[in-house]
Amino acid sequence: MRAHVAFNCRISAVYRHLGIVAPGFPRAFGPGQFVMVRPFFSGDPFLPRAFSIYRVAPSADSAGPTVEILYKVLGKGTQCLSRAEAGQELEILGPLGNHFTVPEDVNAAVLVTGGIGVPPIAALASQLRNPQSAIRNCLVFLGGKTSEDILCVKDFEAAGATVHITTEDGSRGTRGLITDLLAPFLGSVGDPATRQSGNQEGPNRPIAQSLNRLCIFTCGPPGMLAAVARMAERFGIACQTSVEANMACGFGACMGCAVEARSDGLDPKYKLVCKDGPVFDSGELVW
Amino acid sequence: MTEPSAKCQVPSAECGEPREPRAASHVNLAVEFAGIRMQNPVVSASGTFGYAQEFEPYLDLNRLGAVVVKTITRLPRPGNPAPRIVETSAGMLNAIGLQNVGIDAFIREKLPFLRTLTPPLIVNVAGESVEDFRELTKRIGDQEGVAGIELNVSCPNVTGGLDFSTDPTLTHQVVKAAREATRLPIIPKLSPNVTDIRTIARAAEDAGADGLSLINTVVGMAIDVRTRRPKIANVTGGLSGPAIRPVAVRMVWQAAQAVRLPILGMGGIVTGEDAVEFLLAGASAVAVGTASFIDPTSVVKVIEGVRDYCAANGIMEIRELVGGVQIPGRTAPCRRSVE
Repeated sequence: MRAHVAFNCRISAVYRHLGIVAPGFPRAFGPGQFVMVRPFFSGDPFLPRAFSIYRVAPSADSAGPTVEILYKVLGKGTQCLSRAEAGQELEILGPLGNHFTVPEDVNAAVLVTGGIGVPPIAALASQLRNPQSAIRNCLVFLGGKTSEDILCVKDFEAAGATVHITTEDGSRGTRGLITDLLAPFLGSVGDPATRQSGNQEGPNRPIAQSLNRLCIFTCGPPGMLAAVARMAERFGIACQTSVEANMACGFGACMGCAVEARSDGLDPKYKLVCKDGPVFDSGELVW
Repeated sequence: MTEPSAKCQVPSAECGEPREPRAASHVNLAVEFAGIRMQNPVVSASGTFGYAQEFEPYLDLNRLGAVVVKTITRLPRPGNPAPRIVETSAGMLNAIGLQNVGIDAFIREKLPFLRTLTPPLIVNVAGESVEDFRELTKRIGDQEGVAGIELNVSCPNVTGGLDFSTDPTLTHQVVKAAREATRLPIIPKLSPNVTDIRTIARAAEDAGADGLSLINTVVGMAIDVRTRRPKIANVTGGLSGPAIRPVAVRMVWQAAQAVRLPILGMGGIVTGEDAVEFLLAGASAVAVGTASFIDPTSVVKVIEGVRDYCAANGIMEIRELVGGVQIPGRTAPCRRSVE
């Protein structure tokens, strides 16, 4: 779909916020869904790039809604994208893939995210604020290497979530990895005996006591996702994870974005991130 | 559709003189390839178009010259470990590993939808042995709604000696077995990873092929210099995209002079002019492959581009272009009849 750049703003040294006016793009999307964006028609870089949808804003005029993404300038594709100016034409395809779905019996959401995995989680937090949502408590565990990597805090706060932040260099929040904070929290709520005795310490205590049916929603670097998946399994907590893979097409034709899924048989089993995902129950995948 | 402009005029293949531009609607794009009638010469390339249904939201599938679907094997295949693809300069490397549902599920789940489409259907099959090819060809040939069978004798990404088409004897054996198993047109898809494509093309012709598909991907490799590891898990993969187009055009041109079989040319076609290049080299029809990944409407854009080229150059019959390359110093273009 032919579209054009509405804005392409710098958020920090390496993060940018891109708005794409996309005629015919649906207003409604599920948090976790993505778009394929091709800002380059010269054939270099050759492939479009996949980005999670951060927001879809209604259009100011009749041009169509503005699809917003956040991206980190990392390689050839994002460097090229970072030079796109307002008005520049580009191609956009989407919304693609599946999305986070709050299970019916869940009333508390634990959002675990970091780095450039944040946008779909911020989109989910906004949706959970919706009065129809069954979620009564929303807790965010947000990690990054430095304070520069901490995105969307205002979005989470506006969604009424409690936000816990870690940075590896200690420049914002607690020093360390986000999983260092998550583990004791899940330990306190994931173990029914501890939960009933109500003897856990720290700021999580009142929340933990009210959390009886919780689900983890996560998106971030692969190491974080693997650690979260293992914790969720250990504590018996449902966990939906949004994963990333190299993609050529984004709609199931190239079969390039395979991830290994748990298999009952001898043969390995693969799922396609673009079509079967990008959101999976963390137990479906091999970590 | 753009108006044909005088700027685009080139000497026509027929007489070497510029012709008057014509209306695009007057151009006859219909061709017959390997006995299969097509409304235009542009088809989907196997392995880049899924089972066609994936593309239904994006384009009118009935506009294709023919639909060529992803390789089917006897048993389902899970495919290769990740990462399977990586972008390279003007192209990509892939090692998908022939992930597919297997012939039973294909017939049960994919074929009913494919039968609802009006363009002819060409099913691509791959076997691990000559007998596999015989069985697959027989079973697909017995299905209603199949117009032709493309033999994937050239997948570079699976172990077990599947790259039959690097050996003329093996190519001959596979094509012969397939020939005996069906009356449908048989189109082996040949590997470019050979010393002389003409030898392989002749072997396929001698064994009774009805046409040739050229080329499959070019074996390549990319290394991440930071980790010093190959960028795809299979270590090597098949290179596709515009990067391989000159190789493909050269091989089509060589094969076209070596055999009388019609050729389905492919390799890096993105635009109508890219497709015309293949026709001039001697292909009777062309397939759009990797371009469909970066833009799912690519096949239709190529059809329109070919038609606009013909209109701008006063070419009323697309078939006139086949083999029309003019090489200075040679007396006549290497024209060939469309069979």
